[in-house]
Formats: sequence, structure tokens, C-alpha cells
Amino acid sequence: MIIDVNVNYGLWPFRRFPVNSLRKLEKNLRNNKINLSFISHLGGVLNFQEVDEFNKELYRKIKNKRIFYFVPIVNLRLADAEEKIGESKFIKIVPTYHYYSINDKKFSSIFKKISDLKISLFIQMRYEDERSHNPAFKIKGMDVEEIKKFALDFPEIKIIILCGYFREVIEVCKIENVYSDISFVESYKTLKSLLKEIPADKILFGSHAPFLYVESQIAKLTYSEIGKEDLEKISSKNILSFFDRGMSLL
Amino acid sequence: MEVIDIHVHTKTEECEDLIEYAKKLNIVKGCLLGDVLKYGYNQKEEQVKEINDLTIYLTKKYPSFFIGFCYLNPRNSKRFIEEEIERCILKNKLKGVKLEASIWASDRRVFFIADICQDLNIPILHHAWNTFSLGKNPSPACFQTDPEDIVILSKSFPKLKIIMAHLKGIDIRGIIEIKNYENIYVDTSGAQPITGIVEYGVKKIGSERILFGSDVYFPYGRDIPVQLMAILGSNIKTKDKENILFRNAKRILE
Repeated sequence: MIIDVNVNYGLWPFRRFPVNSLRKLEKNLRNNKINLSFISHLGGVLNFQEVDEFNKELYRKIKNKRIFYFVPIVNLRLADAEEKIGESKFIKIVPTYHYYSINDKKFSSIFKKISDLKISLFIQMRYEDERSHNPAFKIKGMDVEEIKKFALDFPEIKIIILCGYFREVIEVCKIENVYSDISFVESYKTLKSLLKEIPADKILFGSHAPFLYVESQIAKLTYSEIGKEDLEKISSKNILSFFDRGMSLL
Repeated sequence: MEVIDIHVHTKTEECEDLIEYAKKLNIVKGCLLGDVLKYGYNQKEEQVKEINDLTIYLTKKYPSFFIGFCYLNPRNSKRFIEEEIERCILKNKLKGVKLEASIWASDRRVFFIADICQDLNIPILHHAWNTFSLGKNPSPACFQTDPEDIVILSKSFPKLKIIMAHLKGIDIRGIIEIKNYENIYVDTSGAQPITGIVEYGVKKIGSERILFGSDVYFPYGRDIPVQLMAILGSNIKTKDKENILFRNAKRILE
């Protein structure tokens, strides 16, 4: 079983995706034997004010499609952000695109609520390689030290970073409550190299479709040269452990 | 489908693991470009020699798998460059020249090397990136060649085969710039397996001008199957995949 924790839907102004509809995305994921994918709407990343409208649109579109698991994006700077917390088991934040620091004290009460409700938090490190950004819209990747401080301040929140580079992932995953997807992690024999640095329990399969080829991400599993047990953890077991025992996802 | 990887680096003399990994992926040849980052961007002559010594050694140690390119720093003396080309290409049978980020491809010092390569009918594989965001000098010693620099080189040496590295780095903009210059090829290496660029390249310049490259930097660098699947997973015809993965490199290296 493969669960993909990092799938996106929608348009991106800086790149045209070949897989540019929900139907194509579903087909692409199924062709690559993905059983379940955590999906968020890209619309609310740059249109930072209408995040909730994009969340609702995506939820409506996927609610009858069992391959998708909806993950809303929350902009913590919007006045109604705290009200939105609690509706989902997972939420995603994109601090660099919504232009705030997760270490800002004014968000403490929201994060306390996230912690109390045992909501797991996806933090988007970046969407694209910074070297490929439109020079008029350069967005820095998330700062590793910022995440480390946040993770230590809120040790009860399970944090999953998305699109972190190899060195960043190793660094932040040293913190007990931080996990990472593998979409931007690449090195010679990617997973074998990664497991020399951090345990398999910290790693989750994520494709970052449709930005990146799902086929390439699957190749990280197929040619991983790691043990079966670790492979199963990365492919699905780790993310399933985020859910209450007995909860059926599929 | 057999594969030739045109963009391989290694830091070590022991490459059994790399070759075994590549062969599992049906890669039958790897083109060694040297440990080009070992001494930064502006290597001294003895450092260039050391880089090429390793390449020559590996092509002799693993002759059925490795092909080698001679690494050069255009800032070195003309005399040294001539001697190194003679040593690497004529005496030790390396198949082409690799240029990195010592100076831009549009610099006259590169023209000196290009002139020799055109006469010898050997290709130059030149590092390139879209510098719109990165900048032409991201650090003082690093000269990032843009596709437009490659075009300047191409215009001056129309019979020279130029392989511009990093399709995913030069991006859409790079493909547009090289479109009309038939002697410029591009390798598919660089960056994450971004969707759409291979398809765009095939549509705009044809699959005959695109070569598969992984940019593995053994024992680090890119992961070969990840980069390979960016071709095999792309929405192009099988014939185009065969051109990219094998036929074009074979034709250029013959």
C-alpha cells in the first residue's frame, strides 16, 4: 500500500502542469499504484485571502473520490483562522507564502489549540526550487531553525514538513515530533542514504504531484535497497499511525 | 530500452556500486565528466590534471562502462589547455570536453577551446542554468552560463556539437533560446524531476537534440532512477524516449 502525503490540485501561475485536472491527477496516481493521497488546493497559496473558498471548492470536488484525503490550507494571519481549526485531523500551513513566522507569539493560542486537539500539521517548506523562481516572485524556503524552535515549543504537535531538501530533512527530523516527506529529498540511492541519517519512522512518502513526476518518486521506493519493514513504514504505515487505532481510511 | 547516461560524476576510484546500480536500470554506458567541483570553480592547472587523471583511470579500469570527457578551465594557459587536450583526447581517448562555471560560455577564452574541439570533431558539454533568478555570478568565482551564452558560442562555431547541461535548470526559457541552433543539444539533468519540461523540449526542438543525463555525483548527487523516470514517465512517444535515452548519445559519441 502506498499513501502519498503530498499532492496538490489547481493552477500554478509559474508553471503549466501536464496533469492539469482532477481526473488526470486521479488517473496518474492510480497508474502509479497510489492507494490514497493527501491533497490540498494550490489556489489559497498565492491568493492568501480566499483560502477558505479554495478549500471548500476542493472538498466538494473530492468528497466522493476515495483516493483523495482532503487537507485544508489555513492562513494563520486571517482573523477566522482559529475558527477553522478543529474541522480536520490535518491542516497545512504555508508560512513563507502567507508571509509570517511560525515563531511569532501572536499565533501561540492557535498552535495551543492545534496541540490540544491533536491535529497534525503539514508545513510547506517550498513549492519550487528557489533557483527556478520568477525573479519578481522569489520566496525563500522555510528556515530550518524556525521549524526546530517551533517543534520544541510545541512538542505535542506532530509536524510533517513537505518539500524539504536532504540536509534540511536530516536536521529537522532530529526533533522528536518532526517528520518529513521525500518529494525534494534526493541523493544517490535516496532512501538508503537517508536512512543512514534518520530512522524510517520519520519518513513519509510524498510525490509533490503535479509539480514533480509521481513515477520518479515511486522510483525512490522501487530502487531503495532498504528492508521491507522500513519500506512499508515509509510507504504507508507511518502516516497511518497518525490516525486513531481502528480508524478506516481506505 | 538501453540507456546512455551522458552526465556522470564520481569522487572516487571505486565505482562498482555505481555501475551495478546503473546496470539494474539498463544503463549500458556512463559518460564521466570529472570531479569538477573538487577545487571550486577556478582550478589551477595541476588540479585540472588531477581531475582528468581520475577520469582517465576510471575509463581504463571500467572500459566496458565508462566513457570520459576531458575537464578544462578556460582561465588556464592556452599552452596547458592544448597539452591537456592532447593528453586526454588524443593519447587517452576521452571523447569530449567538459566545461563548468569557471567563466561564461560566451567568453573568448572558451572560444579557444571550442575552436580546437570543432577541428577535432568532439563535443563540448557545458554547464548552464537559467540565471534569471540565480544570477550570473551567484558567488564571486562562479560564472553561471545562461542559454544565451551557449547561443553566442554556437553562432561562432556552427559545426561544433554543444551539449548544454541541465534541461530542468535552463527550463522553458532555455529551450526557446536554443531552438534555432541545430548544433546545440541539451541533457536532461539538473533539479528535481519537474513535470512538463521534457514534453516541452520534445515539442519545440525535437527529441533528436535531447540526451539523458542523471548528474549523479557518486557517492552523492542526483539519484539515477529518479532522473530516469522523469523521461520514462513523461508523456512523449516511445520513439522519442529511445532517442533521448540512447540513440542521440550514441550518435554524438561515435
